[in-house]
Amino acid sequence: MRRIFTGRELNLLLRLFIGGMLAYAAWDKVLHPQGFAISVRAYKIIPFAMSNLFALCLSWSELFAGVMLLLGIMTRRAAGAAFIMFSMFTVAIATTVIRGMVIDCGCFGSEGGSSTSWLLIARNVGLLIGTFLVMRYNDGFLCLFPGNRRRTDDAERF
Amino acid sequence: MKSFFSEIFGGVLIMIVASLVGITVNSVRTGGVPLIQKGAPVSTVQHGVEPDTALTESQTLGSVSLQEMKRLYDEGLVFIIDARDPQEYEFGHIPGAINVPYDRLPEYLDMLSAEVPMDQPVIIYCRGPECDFSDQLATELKVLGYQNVRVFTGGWEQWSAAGYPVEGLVPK
Repeated sequence: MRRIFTGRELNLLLRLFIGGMLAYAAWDKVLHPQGFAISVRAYKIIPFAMSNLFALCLSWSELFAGVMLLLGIMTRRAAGAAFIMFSMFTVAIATTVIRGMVIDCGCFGSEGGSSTSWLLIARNVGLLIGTFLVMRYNDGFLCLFPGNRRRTDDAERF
Repeated sequence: MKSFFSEIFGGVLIMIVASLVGITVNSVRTGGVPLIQKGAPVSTVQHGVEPDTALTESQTLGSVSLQEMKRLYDEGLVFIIDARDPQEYEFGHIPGAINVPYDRLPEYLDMLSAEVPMDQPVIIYCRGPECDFSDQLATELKVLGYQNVRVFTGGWEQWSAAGYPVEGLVPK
């Protein structure tokens, strides 16, 4: 059973799925920083003056982490970055739900479509778990430049 | 556990590098954003404010009363923007108002700049005196460069209650 969650097949799928999604989500935000800054301000968490800088840093971090996961470059560290970002998103969305705000989450840039809700939080927690598995168990399988010690001990054990 | 923190630390480094690249690209590209956003959020929401003080405060904050809104509507020289959800807009809105749901503004930016010139007076409303979508949309329009932006604080609630003309599915 453990083999399913820690094995390289699921890990590869998760890495490609999460990486592809991050890169896709980041693309519109990187192209239209003003639009993403508006989405950041809608959460009313980051101070008004810092909203542009925050939006800029976040969208580029998403792009980097996404592309690095897709190609398999420093895979586990890229998953670490994704883990930090999904944690931030989850907390941010949770605060809007707790404050009784219903806003478009801005998850995929200007595409729109999903409002902040408990369901969205659940989706993010799912992504967090997937990202954790990549971060913890990726052994460099089909990675361009894994950049981490291959966990041969784990791979051989199963 | 040690491995967990080393991957997280690596992730932080990746994010720092990515951010520096992003800031550099932003400074050379067209359509970049200022790193520090100037100005301050518009605030006309009147949670629990006495009616008298609310009126004097709102005058200084560039908000519009019901009577003034009706007068401006009759003159027909201002762009009226409805900041609520499309469903609420479809149900009923001030005739001629353009729907720009605040939280989906990024989606509506192209339409907005095509329909509403930046030098024209704009009045924004949402549900009523306690909603803040109109304030937030006013803030964003000022950031975008609109010069004359005001908020009709009474919103749909006061307008429809006053029996003024409406457009939409609402029974007349």
